[in-house]
Amino acid sequence: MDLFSKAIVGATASVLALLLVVLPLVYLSPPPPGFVESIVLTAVFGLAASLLSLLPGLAAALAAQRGGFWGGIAQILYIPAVVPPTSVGVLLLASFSLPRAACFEGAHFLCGVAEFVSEHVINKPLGVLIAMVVMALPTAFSIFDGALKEERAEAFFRSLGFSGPRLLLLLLLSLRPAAVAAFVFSWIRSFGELGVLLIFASYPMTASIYIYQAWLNHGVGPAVGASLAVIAVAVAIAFVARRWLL
Amino acid sequence: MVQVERLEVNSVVAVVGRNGAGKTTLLDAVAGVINAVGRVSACGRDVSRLPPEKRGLAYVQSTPVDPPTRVDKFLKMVARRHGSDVEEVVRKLGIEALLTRRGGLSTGQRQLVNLAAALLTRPCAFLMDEPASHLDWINKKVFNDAVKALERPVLYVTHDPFEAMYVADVICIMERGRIMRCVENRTDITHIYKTAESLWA
Repeated sequence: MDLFSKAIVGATASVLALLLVVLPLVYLSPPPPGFVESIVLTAVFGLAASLLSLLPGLAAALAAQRGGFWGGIAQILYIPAVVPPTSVGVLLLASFSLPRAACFEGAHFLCGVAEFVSEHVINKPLGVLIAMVVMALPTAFSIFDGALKEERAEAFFRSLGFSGPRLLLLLLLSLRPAAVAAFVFSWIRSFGELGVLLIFASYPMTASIYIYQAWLNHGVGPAVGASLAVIAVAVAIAFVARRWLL
Repeated sequence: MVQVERLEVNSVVAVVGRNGAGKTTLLDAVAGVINAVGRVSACGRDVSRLPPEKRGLAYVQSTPVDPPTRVDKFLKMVARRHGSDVEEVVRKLGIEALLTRRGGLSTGQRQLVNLAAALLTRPCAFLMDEPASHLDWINKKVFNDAVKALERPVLYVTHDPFEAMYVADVICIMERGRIMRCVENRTDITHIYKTAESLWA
């Protein structure tokens, strides 16, 4: 690495460390109660969402490699990454609110769906999971898409006679580094997911919602404390992944 | 566009061509990975309308694919599907030492495992897309010796005429998407390979 590149890396890292860690320490105060619960909740939902996004992400990447109609359809998975997260939240809320709007007397199925959505999805754990999976899909898709450009694993495994779910499983296992990267980056990303959750599923409270509430209700200090703790958790996950998994 | 009038593969046939000549496209079309117009026959049956997994054509890639599980488990999985014998193939390719490995295989080792898996499918023919291009010279020779001993039709694509002369029975030249000519390979360069190999002895 030459001196110029080192200077750029050093300057960028220093500015970020100063702005995101060192200077905010001036305001540091302990976060209000419920912080650990929000972190654990984010970790659990983020973990589940990252796992659930792997197979669809891989299947979409395969379709994108083949091109054609399904390759075009697969690009839809990028939508959550290219529109503002608040828009994704609004759109999810609108879609899931539709059964309630369409429910009328006698439409038992629609009213049943509307009841299920209000009891189990919007501002409920299932809603958090749905929102996180939606936001994790573009990460998994893009990482597998990159990996499949390097390796023509699909052509190899298909020629060995594999197809369907078994083919996907073999590809997932064979592309281990990409699968781990997709899983880890989606997981880390879930800690910062605010826009979509704020609108679609702000309860149970995940880390980003907790920080937002802490800032609104208790000021900068407790929000800084919680934010730095989240940074520590995310960096620890990234370090472990980089050191032992990737 | 790639247009091939007729190409019969009954032994090791090497298609030699420069970058962009259409060699990989030809293999993809034969394997069924891309749509193509025409007829592909394997083991005496028309497989043109079948998906790649049903054509009976084992397709070995230039960048070897990582085994999805421990080598022996992967090979057993393939063998179970095709009713073949892992031990026999492992012995033939001399990869006994790799069986308990899961990761950390070198490119050459991975390619031999890929070849073993391909062999276990008992294919009508092998399709090989520059399979030795990422291997060092010694591994290249090990791999190509294994190819020569397959005793199955092989359509072997390479940009290296010397490699083609070493491995193939028939050499076809491909240019701008067409097979220009095919000649029987009467040049034996085994002695040159042996001389080169002696450098490492």
